[in-house]
Amino acid sequence: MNNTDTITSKQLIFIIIGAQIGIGIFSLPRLVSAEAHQDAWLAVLLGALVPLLILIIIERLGRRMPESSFVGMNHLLFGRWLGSAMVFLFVVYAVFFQSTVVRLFTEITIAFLLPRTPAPVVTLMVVLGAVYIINKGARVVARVNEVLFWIILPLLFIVMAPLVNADYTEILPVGEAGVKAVAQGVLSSTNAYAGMEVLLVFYFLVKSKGEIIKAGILGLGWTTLAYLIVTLVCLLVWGSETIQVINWPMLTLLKTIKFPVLERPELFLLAVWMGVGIRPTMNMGFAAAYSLSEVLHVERDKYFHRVVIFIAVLIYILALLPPNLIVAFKWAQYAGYTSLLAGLLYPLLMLVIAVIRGKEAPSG
Amino acid sequence: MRKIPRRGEETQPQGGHDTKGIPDIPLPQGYDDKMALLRPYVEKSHDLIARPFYLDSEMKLQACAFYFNAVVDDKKLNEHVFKPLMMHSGGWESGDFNNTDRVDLIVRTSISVGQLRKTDSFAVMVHSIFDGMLVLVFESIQEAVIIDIHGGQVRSIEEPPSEKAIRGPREGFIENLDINISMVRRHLRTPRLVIKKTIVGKRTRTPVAVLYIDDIVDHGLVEQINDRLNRIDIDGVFSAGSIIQMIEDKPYSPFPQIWTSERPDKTIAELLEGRIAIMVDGTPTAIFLPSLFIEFFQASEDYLERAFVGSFIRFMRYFAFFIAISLPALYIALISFTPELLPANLAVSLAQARKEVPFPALIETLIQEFIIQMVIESGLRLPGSVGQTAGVVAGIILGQAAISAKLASPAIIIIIAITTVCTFALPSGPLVQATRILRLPLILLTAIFGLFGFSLGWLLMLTHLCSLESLGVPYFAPFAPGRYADLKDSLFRIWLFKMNQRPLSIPTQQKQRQGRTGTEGGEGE
Repeated sequence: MNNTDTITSKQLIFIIIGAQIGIGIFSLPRLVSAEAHQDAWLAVLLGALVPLLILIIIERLGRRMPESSFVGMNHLLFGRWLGSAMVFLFVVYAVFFQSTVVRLFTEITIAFLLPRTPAPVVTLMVVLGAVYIINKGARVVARVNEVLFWIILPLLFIVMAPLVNADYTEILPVGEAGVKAVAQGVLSSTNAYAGMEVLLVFYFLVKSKGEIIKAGILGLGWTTLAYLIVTLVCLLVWGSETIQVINWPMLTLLKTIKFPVLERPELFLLAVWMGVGIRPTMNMGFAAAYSLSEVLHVERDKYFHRVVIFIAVLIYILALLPPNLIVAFKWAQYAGYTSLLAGLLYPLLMLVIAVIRGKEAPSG
Repeated sequence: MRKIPRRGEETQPQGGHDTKGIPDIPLPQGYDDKMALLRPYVEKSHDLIARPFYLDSEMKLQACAFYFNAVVDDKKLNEHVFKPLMMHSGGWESGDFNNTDRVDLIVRTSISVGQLRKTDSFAVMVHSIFDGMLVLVFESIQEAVIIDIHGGQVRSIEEPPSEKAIRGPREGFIENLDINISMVRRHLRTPRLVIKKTIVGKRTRTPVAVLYIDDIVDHGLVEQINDRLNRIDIDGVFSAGSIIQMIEDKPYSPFPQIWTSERPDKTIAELLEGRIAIMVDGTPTAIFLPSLFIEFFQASEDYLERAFVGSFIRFMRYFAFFIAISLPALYIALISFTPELLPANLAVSLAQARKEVPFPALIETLIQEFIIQMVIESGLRLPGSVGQTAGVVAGIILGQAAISAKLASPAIIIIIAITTVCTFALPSGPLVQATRILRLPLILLTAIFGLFGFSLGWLLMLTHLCSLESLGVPYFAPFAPGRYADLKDSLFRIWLFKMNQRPLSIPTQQKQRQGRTGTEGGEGE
């Protein structure tokens, strides 16, 4: 392992937050309340259990094989060929998922900021930004995550400003939507919560493995808190019915606030716009490029950038494929479901095999 | 090859390590042989003085002194070398001394100068002459005596104009390395202060000193610095700037990665934080490694002010940095892409002011930006009062005329003025220069993509900052990687009695700086 590729467990917190919170937060209140109505916040809270489960599975898995990277684990568990195939599948998943993220980010950017700029150009800028960051390696990705977290943090407080118009009856009575509706809501939130699976790759890079579970829970905690605040504020201000007609409730929410002098706090969001949108792509993109370069035995010091550019081109092409916003939303939904496959079932399968073949896998 | 002498060895610049072009042969015994060897050098340099004389008034031993006119101190030369040698030396001819003993005896009895040494290598001798030493050769004694009586005119110690302090010491470095070192030594009296000298530059043969505190500094870093200094292979070192460019980590970056200062007090503070200082002869600047981004926001008087004042000023500087880079870009984004984000009244008045300006916001901004950069440049180069006049004429009159002629809106004049003021509010020169450049790409990105481009530009810049390293130490610490304990002396400037730990961002042997434990054994013994 290259020494420049290690990160601290503290940085893992920010990586997990960065991998999870992206532009999903803008549409989350609408998606969840479409199913769970006024109990959407409950669904968001429960939705956090899925990534928590993923975290625990991956941590258990990693603890069995702390010496091997993600690719190494696959080779140990599935054998050389099948293992490589599994990694390829994971890379395909990451590319597909991030292409939907980039596409939606482009759509929102065009809708709110650049109505006359062609989509391919905006997408290109997003992808290029991600390439620049990923190329710099794990440490820089971790540091950028850290800086962005602190820069974006004030947004969480700005979002709470509309609470002056809150009507708490909008979320009452609690639990009226019913178990099934809330469960549906949880399923809708999976897209927003996807991202914990980057830990599969980052586990190996963290220096102090003992701290990983703590870091994971902290990161997930922040994500949940952010989602909960946004969902609650939207519900309390508008109620679940009104949210349905707004594509990106959180953005619209920011437009409703008016501060003296500054006029619109939206300006702050737009100034950190790229930072908000690019975080999942740079983390997942890094995970994909890192794994792919290992499977293909690419010399990372010299040719890592070629793998990154290859991944970026794939993401770019896939992102431009959906012909319109409706299709893009559909793709994003599928991506959310595949995240369950890649994030939950895949590590679980690995863990089961690791337990069964326990004696063969080095215990570390 | 150059090398840095080990501790305990010679701490003077070693004369003879670079032997290229000069035959590295032992000195001959005979007086005439030596003179013959040296003749080509004397013939080519008319300022090289070869002064033959006899030891003792009875003409017992022939000798010759070689030195450069006005490089050695004439008074010392006459008083402490020639006079005792010619008048009073004696005793060495009696008894059965061999030649080595003889030269020792002459040196010990008759030369009343502190710094001297002997050599039997021709190359070392020649280099010593050209390094500005006085060299004595004697008949029938192989070894030559090298005496350091540097003299000549040096600038007096003044307050550095680029780092003025309202309160606090007014002392600044000058161009003489030895005097600079003495300024540090005088105020930092610990025996653990290590000073190593080496020579850089094949032809200028510039003495360079590396300073650090033995029991604080991380010795891995010292080794890296020695390595990098040894790897430098250039003809000439003209200033500390040449050294900086040869040893910095990422030359392809607009950001200054090595902090410099002209103040001895600042130098001492940096040494005490575990950094390594490099001083170059001929430059009134010390350079410090590893350097962090935040250091370019720290001024030495921050530490003399009250903590609240210091912290407030720090905040203002970060804000000024942000404004200096992004205000013109924000102006373009808000005027030409998203005017709805401005307060309605402001948007209207801006639009009215811009109504008769024939250029788009980007061109308007670029023109003004170009003008102000030229005003700054002309002001810098012209002598004092003329420079000020140029600034006033160009700034005020041109600005006013441009508005009257409807070539620029008053708003852009204000924007550029604020930007410029904020740029020069930053306490360090290199950062000011970086800021002047960084504004442009952001303006261009924003002109194409509006606020989206603005955020993209800042993201790329932050990523770049995160990727920089100085001597392998993350440059953007303590922000990323987060060393939050260090925020007390970066984002804020808290009370001195609370800064008990040295900065975590700089690797050191000894974390505790002051107070509390006392078990670690502080400074000195």
